Amino acid sequence: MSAGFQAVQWNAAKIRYDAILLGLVALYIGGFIAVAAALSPPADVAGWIDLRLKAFGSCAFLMLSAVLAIGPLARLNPRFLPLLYNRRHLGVATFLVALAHAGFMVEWYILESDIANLAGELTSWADYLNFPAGFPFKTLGLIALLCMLVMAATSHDYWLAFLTPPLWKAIHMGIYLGYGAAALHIALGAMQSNRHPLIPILLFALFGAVTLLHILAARKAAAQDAGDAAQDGWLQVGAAGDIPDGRARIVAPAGGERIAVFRDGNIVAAVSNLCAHQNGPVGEGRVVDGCITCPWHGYEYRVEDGCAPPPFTEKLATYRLRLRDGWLEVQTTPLPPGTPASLMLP
Amino acid sequence: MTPSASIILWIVGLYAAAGSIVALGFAAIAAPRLIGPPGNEKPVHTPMTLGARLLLIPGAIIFWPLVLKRWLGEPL
Repeated sequence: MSAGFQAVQWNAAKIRYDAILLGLVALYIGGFIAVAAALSPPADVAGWIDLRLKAFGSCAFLMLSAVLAIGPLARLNPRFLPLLYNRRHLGVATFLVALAHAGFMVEWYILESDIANLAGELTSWADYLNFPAGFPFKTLGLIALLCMLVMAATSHDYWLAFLTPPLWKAIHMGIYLGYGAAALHIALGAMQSNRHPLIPILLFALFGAVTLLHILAARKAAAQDAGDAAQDGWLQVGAAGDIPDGRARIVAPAGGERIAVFRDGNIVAAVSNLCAHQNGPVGEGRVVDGCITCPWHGYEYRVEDGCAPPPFTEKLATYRLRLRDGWLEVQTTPLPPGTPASLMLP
Repeated sequence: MTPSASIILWIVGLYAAAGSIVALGFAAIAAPRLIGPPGNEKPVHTPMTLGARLLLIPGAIIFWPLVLKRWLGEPL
């Protein structure tokens, strides 16, 4: 969090994340080219460009799969939350690798003195009816690249505030269109030029794994959202001591919004589970220096009243808590955002 | 190049050219005035580094009609 906008709000975790990401990308691309060149040395310059095309293209698809897998993985197991924290850098890096892949394709056409035909190839409308043998699969790659461009270009916090969260979120759902287009781009490209069976097998295994993770995460969320029955407007949370110190238990009344009940030492507090920044799952975060810290982007809210510390003005809705026969209960009706409602445990 | 390819390239080129002009003005002048600092929805003159302004340019080229609308004082 900052009182103004910077290009990137660097911290030690982000630097470490980006360094590991860069190292893995370099390792994959370097390894791919080295192994492929050793197994089948390219005969000419066009062969080397083709090799780079495949290395960067496959790397971009793997990265895009990782971008989409991180969300459901973190939902299924909190150990993956550190990957979620800087996912936007992974997304921007994915776009840059995909852009390099597209650049090598243009380089290939320039080398073959065929650049004018590239645009013609994409606008040969009759070929779009010749599925899959003659379908211009590069168009699908272009659609995927454009989707990633829009995501990357609007990934800065400024755009979230400018476009408003609902519109920003709707735009960023376009990544699923991009992923589908990228999968089809690779599948058709492989079917039309390289008939090695390993490519479609790996492609659909990856696509299937990402889809399965989304289904599992959605089922878990649906089970949470089914909620528990509240009595007289109060919902049982459990024994306060069972909530790990500095962490939260997420509960939901039947048909209601999720509530995160945090324990910070002998203080308990209940807030809305939706971060005011990007609707991130606040309850999956932890308490740091008396502030609830959202696991997505580190937005902070004071435990006692759900208010962001000055000079920030974001607020979370809070909920009343009570102890009844040793059990902690939360009132299911939210209080106005920023209302002090924490409870001191005896 | 086919005629339809030429038409598409012209349209994309014109959109990007108009977007570039709007985006440069937006990043240089309007961006700090249109929204508040992070966590504050009230528009005030928000401190913004050169790096942040440069990062806004690609998004402003893509969404230049929205940017221009907001710049002229209309809601999105």
